[in-house]
Amino acid sequence: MTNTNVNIVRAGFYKRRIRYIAVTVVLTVFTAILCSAMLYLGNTRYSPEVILRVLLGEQVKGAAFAIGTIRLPRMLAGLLAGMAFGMAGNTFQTMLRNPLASPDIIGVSSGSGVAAVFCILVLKVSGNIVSISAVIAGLSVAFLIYALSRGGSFSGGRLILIGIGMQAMLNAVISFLLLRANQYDVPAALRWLSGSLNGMKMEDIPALFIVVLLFGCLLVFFGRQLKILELGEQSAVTLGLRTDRTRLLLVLCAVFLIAYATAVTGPIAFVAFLAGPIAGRMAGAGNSNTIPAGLTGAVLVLLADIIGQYAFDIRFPVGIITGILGAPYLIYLLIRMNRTGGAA
Amino acid sequence: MKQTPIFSASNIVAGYDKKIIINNIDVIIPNNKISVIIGANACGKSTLLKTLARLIKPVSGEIVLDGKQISAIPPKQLARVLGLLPQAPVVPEGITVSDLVSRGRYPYQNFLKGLGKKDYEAVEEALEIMGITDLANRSVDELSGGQRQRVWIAMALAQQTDILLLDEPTTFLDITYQIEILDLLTDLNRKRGTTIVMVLHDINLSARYADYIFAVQKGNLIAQGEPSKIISEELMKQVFGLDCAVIKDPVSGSPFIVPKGRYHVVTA
Repeated sequence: MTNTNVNIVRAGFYKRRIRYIAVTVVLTVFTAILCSAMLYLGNTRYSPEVILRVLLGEQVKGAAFAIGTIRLPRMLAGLLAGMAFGMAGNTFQTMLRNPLASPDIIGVSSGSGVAAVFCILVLKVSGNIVSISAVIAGLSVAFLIYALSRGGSFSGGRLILIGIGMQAMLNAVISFLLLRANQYDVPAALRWLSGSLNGMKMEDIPALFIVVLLFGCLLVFFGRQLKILELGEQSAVTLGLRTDRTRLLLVLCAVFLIAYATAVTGPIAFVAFLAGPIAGRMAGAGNSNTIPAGLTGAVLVLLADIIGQYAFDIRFPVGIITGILGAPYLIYLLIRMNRTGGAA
Repeated sequence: MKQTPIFSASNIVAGYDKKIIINNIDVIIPNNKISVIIGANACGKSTLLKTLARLIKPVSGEIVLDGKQISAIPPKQLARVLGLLPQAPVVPEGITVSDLVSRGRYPYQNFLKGLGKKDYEAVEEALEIMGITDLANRSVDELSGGQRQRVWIAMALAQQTDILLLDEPTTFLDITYQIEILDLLTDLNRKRGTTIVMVLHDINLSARYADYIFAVQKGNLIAQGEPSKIISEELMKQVFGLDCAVIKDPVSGSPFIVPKGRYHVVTA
């Protein structure tokens, strides 16, 4: 074995590793900047010193309310939900080897949405019950799609088409619930459905934080298994992976993240769908990219919320802005899928 | 050359869902040899290979490696001994050659440790053997069919198994690349002593490259042995329903079949 050849291979591994670390660091810094901006921007701008004092628990007059009660929960909800959407979307997309296989395209998020709307409009409950129903509904939809697309030989393309159909059906259920609801409750439900960080409360945060920490860490730990699953069932079994168990674990983690985040902020359009591919482009395709995808998700949500709040004369909820970003990419992928004959 | 564990299957009945494709096959894989499974389309040769590779769970019968049933061996431990190259492996979009090959090291990695020195060496060696070191940092998407197939074999090599199963490794390749791949596999068998079992379509290449042949017809193993001993006009008639003449391969001396159709037959 010649030395130069060895150098080519090692240098390649090293270069890609450095790129991955650099991208992760840059994304972390960018996320931190956006988080600070979320605390700084608003009707009254407080100095960094005041913001810091509020964060440390000091009762600064005026600032304590604006920052502690309004801006901080808004920022934390955006950060955590963005990370949850990004990591969950990337997991689904990598596992099924298709950017279209994102939970917000194949109906998993809509499943959680139906449960949440039902809780809000019909049962008139809120808080943890909404989150738990959202998790159960999201899991049911995920398993239903999987079961329906299994008949004969399993195909990723069929799973996506069935998922898109499922999404349409679930959205019809949501419309039905809205039509039948008390008209005074409808605006709140609609605002939630478009994905909004308005009116986030501090008490929504701890549960979301624990879910993101726990299931996010699991997804990061199982990144190597995710990379093996990406090679397809046959190669994965050959390499000694217990595929059924691993797939189940990854789906459970991803659905918990999606459902909890959706229950708190509403289905913020296309964040799960966009984060993975953007992170993959930046950090390289050889990694599992769970961390960069989570950070990209957070950047998307925070940036879109800042744009929605301050860039126009009227304020738009965050989901409208991410929707405008995501739609062209969705159309592009559908065209490409059509061209490759659905083999995607 | 290290001792290769004995790999055998007895009374195997297997298939997809409820449809039985192979009934009651017994095989003992010859150690450190190249074996080829031949048979007509849909005769069960690929199913047999997949059952040996634990991709299909047999309805009954047992597959035994080194005295243990393979279903009782922990998957990662088994993956260090028994490897498979599937017929149509899936390439993750945008992945580089060496990243893909390094995934063959999964059975050697534990929960927290990433790729180590041994893993890098195994990847480098596999790339070197397959002659694709200069492609190491290229994206697999951009490669030709022949180059891709070498990448996949390199991934299986990085797995460093004693036994390697291959499901039609030469399908979709030009004749030049077919020979190249079969030569590389022979190198591997001769240099490392790797036991190779593969499904091939081409009878003449099978007869040339195989030390041992298993002939499958309608889910039954109907003949096995060295090519020169078993390839005959009768066997071809039985396995493929094909009339043919068997002559001597002018290059290798192995049996060579010449099919007879309804036309262009010179009557003496």
